[in-house]
Amino acid sequence: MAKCSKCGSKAVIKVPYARMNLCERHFIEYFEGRVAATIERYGLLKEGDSVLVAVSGGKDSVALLSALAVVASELRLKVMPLHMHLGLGVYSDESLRVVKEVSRKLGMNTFILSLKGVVGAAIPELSAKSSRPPCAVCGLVKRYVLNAAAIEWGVDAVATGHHIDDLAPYALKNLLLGDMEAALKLAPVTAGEEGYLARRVRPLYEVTERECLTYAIVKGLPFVKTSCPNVFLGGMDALIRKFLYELDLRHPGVKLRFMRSLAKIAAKSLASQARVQTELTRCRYCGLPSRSEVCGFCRLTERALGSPAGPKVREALRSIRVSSR
Amino acid sequence: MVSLLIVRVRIYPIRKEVIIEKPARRVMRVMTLLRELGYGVYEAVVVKGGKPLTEDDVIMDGDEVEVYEVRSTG
Repeated sequence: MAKCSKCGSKAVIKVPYARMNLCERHFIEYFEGRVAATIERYGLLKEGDSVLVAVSGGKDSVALLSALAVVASELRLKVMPLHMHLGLGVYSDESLRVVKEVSRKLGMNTFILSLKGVVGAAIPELSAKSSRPPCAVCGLVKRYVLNAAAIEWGVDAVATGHHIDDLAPYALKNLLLGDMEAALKLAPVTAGEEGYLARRVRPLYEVTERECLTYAIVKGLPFVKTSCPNVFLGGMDALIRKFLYELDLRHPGVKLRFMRSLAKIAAKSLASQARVQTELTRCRYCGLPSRSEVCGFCRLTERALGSPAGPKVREALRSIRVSSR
Repeated sequence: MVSLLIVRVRIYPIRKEVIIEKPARRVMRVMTLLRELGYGVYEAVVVKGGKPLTEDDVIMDGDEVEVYEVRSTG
């Protein structure tokens, strides 16, 4: 039986890169401390900030919400959870049930948006009518609605539950494919621009997926225990993920060092971030960021529904009374 | 009498239930269970009675455990 490196009681997790075994109590402290340290190390949030937190109901987002709730009291953050009902049948219904339960448990008021209500169609319909894969549609729609909500509600940042095991494989893949610009977007923070582009932060940047799962379990947080019906876990991404797993198993901490290096390069490349942003223009329909005349979301919805839904989404979000201060 | 270890395992998120039977054994290490199920040592978290177990912990005959795969599913 492994014993806690701090108190000698029964350990619930081994953390190889930190050379520690931790019991329930000390692991909770460790995890929340690591989230707080990540926020400080990379300057993700400052005292008094309002932060919109994307909560899907999965283990990672509920772990993020719970840890932020702890950090919030110290930093006087205003934490605003947001859940989107994606219209994926029983999976989405179960996600919504879990989010409501976790919100109740944490004493938080979560904004619930139904895509069907706000956009006019859910993911399956948008995917079928646009002939685009559901995962691509889902990612695009979630990014758009999150950014639009942050802009309309005037929040200081959007936080997502991406942890090191989400980010490191993509960072490595982008480097292997020679796309440095895409790799740098996986930094712990990406710059925003007032009234246009929300600042995005990743407080779980330095924690692993296994730690998120263990934290959710030991904290007794409800989380969705089924897979999205559209989940795909193959291809190059899966191979790179497996490679990083094996590498980190033999050389604990190498994944963390890799992502810290990436964060350093990203921080030094503020000039290039500014360059990337100047390449963005405003969508002629909705006014939000776009690489061409029409943003991806308006293009998608125009194709699927006959008219671009961006302006309608912004209007619907504006009509929700939200206080970000 | 030959001893037999029987452990009931519920796996998430695939929601599969399996029964592991090991003759001539009274206990099994978590690490061994994970290997039996085809997982690497940090590719799943084993939970007994609501508490996560480390790879060195042992599972006994008659135990019921939950195994959570460490992967994003949404």
